[in-house]
Amino acid sequence: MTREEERAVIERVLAGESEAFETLLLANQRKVYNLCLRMTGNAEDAEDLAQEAFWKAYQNLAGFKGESGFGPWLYRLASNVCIDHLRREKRREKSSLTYQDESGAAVDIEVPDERFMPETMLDRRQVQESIQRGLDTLTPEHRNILVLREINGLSYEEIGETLELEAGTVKSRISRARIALSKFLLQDGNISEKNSSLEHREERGEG
Amino acid sequence: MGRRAKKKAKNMEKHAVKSVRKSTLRCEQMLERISCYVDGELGAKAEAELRHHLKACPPCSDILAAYQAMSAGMRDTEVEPPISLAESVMVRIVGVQPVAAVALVETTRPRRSQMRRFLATAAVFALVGVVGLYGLWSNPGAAEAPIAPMAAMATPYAAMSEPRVFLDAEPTVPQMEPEVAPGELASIGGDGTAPGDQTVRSGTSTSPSVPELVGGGIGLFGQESTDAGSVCVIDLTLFELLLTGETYWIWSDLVEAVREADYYDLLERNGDTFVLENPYNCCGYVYGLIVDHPTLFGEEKVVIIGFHLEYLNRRVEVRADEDGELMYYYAVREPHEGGKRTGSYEDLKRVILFGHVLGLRGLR
Repeated sequence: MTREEERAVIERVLAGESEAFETLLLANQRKVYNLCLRMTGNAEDAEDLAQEAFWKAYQNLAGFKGESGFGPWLYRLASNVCIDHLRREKRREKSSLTYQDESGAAVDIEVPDERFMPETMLDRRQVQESIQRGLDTLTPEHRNILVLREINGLSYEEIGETLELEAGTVKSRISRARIALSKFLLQDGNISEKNSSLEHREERGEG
Repeated sequence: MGRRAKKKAKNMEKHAVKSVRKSTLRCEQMLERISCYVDGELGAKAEAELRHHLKACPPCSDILAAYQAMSAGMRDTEVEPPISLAESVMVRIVGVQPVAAVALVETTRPRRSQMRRFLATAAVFALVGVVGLYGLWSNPGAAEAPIAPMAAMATPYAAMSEPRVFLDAEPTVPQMEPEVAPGELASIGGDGTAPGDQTVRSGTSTSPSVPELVGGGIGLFGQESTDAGSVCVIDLTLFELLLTGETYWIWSDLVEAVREADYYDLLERNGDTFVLENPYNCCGYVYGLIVDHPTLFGEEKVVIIGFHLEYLNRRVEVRADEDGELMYYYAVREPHEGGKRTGSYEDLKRVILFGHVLGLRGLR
């Protein structure tokens, strides 16, 4: 869907043709759903949140000014819906500290050896499960930015627009999210004790 | 995780720690570049520098490989969204704003999934702005396909557009003489039994221009009740039942369908009429849907009516139920023959739904 097509559909919806929204919905539901799925890690929440995101998009459609594509705008809504949800969940389940805090995702250089390779590490399903577990351990912000990049396929520029971040921040946050994720993947399995050498370094602030 | 995997993970950990110790500041600086490189966001100059570094630094090369693997792994996790997602979104959305009226004619029996899709997309009835109860007649011999409104009730929406009418172009429609001439103002409460506050509105429609159709029909889809009111939406079960029954009497079939759909407790025997208290109402050849949702529609009850082609162009009354609890009651003026009506699938499938229906762009 080109931006012009998007714009045309949006105009129709805004003119009262609510059902035209379906076009936008169908064009974006896969990405939005997968975003929610990776953010929450479970299908049930993902569907609810994706629905919520589309609902918000519909309600706030007049607020879409078209500076960015509709996709990024929608992902932003979806991202916020997910992050809000995760925060609520976190408050509810204080006992499970699943996230590392922002500074915990430090700039340690965890250099995986040659065994940390797709073909040797795990089979595909294991990789997927492992990645989801890894995502679950990230902060919502790290998880979000990685998902926007990998699942939603946004460019750095689009991510910047979507999350209202400076270009430098986008770069550094993605980098840190990857570090955190790779750290998890490295340790995934049974190694829960963090080696002190992996965490003594503090993260520098983001741009 | 198996023993081997554990061992492997331990080894990875060991190597990682070692690598960390060996790593240089330069490597740290490279991390962000590696990340950018994986995303294709690294400038040419920086990329050249990175490549140069990677040649001399196996640990960083490993990181690159790891990042690429993660990236591929993440993209690989993409799944199809459940069908119910789009459905529920559209039901929610279409339920908000009245759009236009649509009448549907079945031309081919839709697959179940299509119907689901259609129904969901349509969400249809629920929040329609009222009932236009229009007769519809497609005469294949006449290009102008006369359309006779049967009865129309006032809409609370001043801005409501004329209904769009979709016609079935199949030439197998049995010829029938319209009892109500096209364009004639239909009556509501023809016997004077209706509340007098109903305005009558002519339901003149334009010639149909959409020849290809799939889907259409009516049934109970679900029901939503809140403090604000209740809404009843079409259901596939009923729809299919109506379409597939070989011999049927729509009234009783409808009741059966409703019963099967666990709406039985909504039913109440009320004289000769089965009353679906909340908020479904049906009778005779015509079946309808009442939406009682003051928040959306004020005190108006919104009605959707569907009936069989056989009864098109016949006058239909819409009147209040005598006990006042039911808002509308539908009946074909002709004497009800009672018992079973025998019909083939060919005419059964010509179920038509009338009303100001929302969101029917699922017609594809």
